[in-house]
Amino acid sequence: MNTKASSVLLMIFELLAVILVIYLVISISEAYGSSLTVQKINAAEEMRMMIDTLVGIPDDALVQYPKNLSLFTLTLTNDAIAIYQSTEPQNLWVMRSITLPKNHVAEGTVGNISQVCLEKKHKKIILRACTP
Amino acid sequence: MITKKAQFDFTRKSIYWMIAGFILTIVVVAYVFVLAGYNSKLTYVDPKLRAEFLTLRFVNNPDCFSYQDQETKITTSSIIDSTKFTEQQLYNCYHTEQGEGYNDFNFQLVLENEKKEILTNNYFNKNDFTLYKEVLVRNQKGAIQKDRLIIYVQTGIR
Repeated sequence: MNTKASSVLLMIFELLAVILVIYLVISISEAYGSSLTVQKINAAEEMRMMIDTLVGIPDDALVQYPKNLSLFTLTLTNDAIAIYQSTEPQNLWVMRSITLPKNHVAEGTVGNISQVCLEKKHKKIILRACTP
Repeated sequence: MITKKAQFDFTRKSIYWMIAGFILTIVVVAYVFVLAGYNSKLTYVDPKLRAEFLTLRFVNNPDCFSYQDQETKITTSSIIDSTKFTEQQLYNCYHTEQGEGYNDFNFQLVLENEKKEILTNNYFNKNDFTLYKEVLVRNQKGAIQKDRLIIYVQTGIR
């Protein structure tokens, strides 16, 4: 291999390496810094605390989540609350586990609704759209 | 034919790229950790806050320990029915998964004056912090006395 050929090869390698590093940095930043991911995590945590509060109330109650959740779909089951965008794969869903006392149930799904409510009726916690 | 200078240049560049590759890898890994740390800060929830909400059920929910009048079905907050203060009732009120529940919140509940204590199913005496609740305890005969519910919180064993 002559000098010129080896230096051209190294230059191509340098360019490829720089492009790879830029791509990695941008894609990782996007994944971690996405405000949607942060919004989903915070909403799931807050929803979980609202459910715990409702369980800790002896009577029935209705509470409205104060933020706009129209970008997301929410699913509540007896074991967890899941928040996701309807088009994204399940591995990107944010899920938070919940523990209910015996005889209590939790259910409901809302999709792209801005005003989301949690209602406790007898021993049932229902996730639903808030009615005006 | 490769000259001595060309051989030297080629080797020098190779060594340079080995070092540069190593440094670049460290920079990328450090960057990932910094971003992950920032993300955690944005979504951090104080475990004490979560524990406060979780433990509300112990003193307010009749399916836990709260006293409920059998006739009127009225539940009075912060009155604990001493007959309900058992591990079985605690399991019905709050339990974590048998396999991996040690990662979740677990509790040791102590009624100070009654000298009764019960544990959730994955509590292993790793007390992270303690919550206190002033309560009234109603015994089997209907007598009510002041007490303090001490809640030792194990946030998770990781």
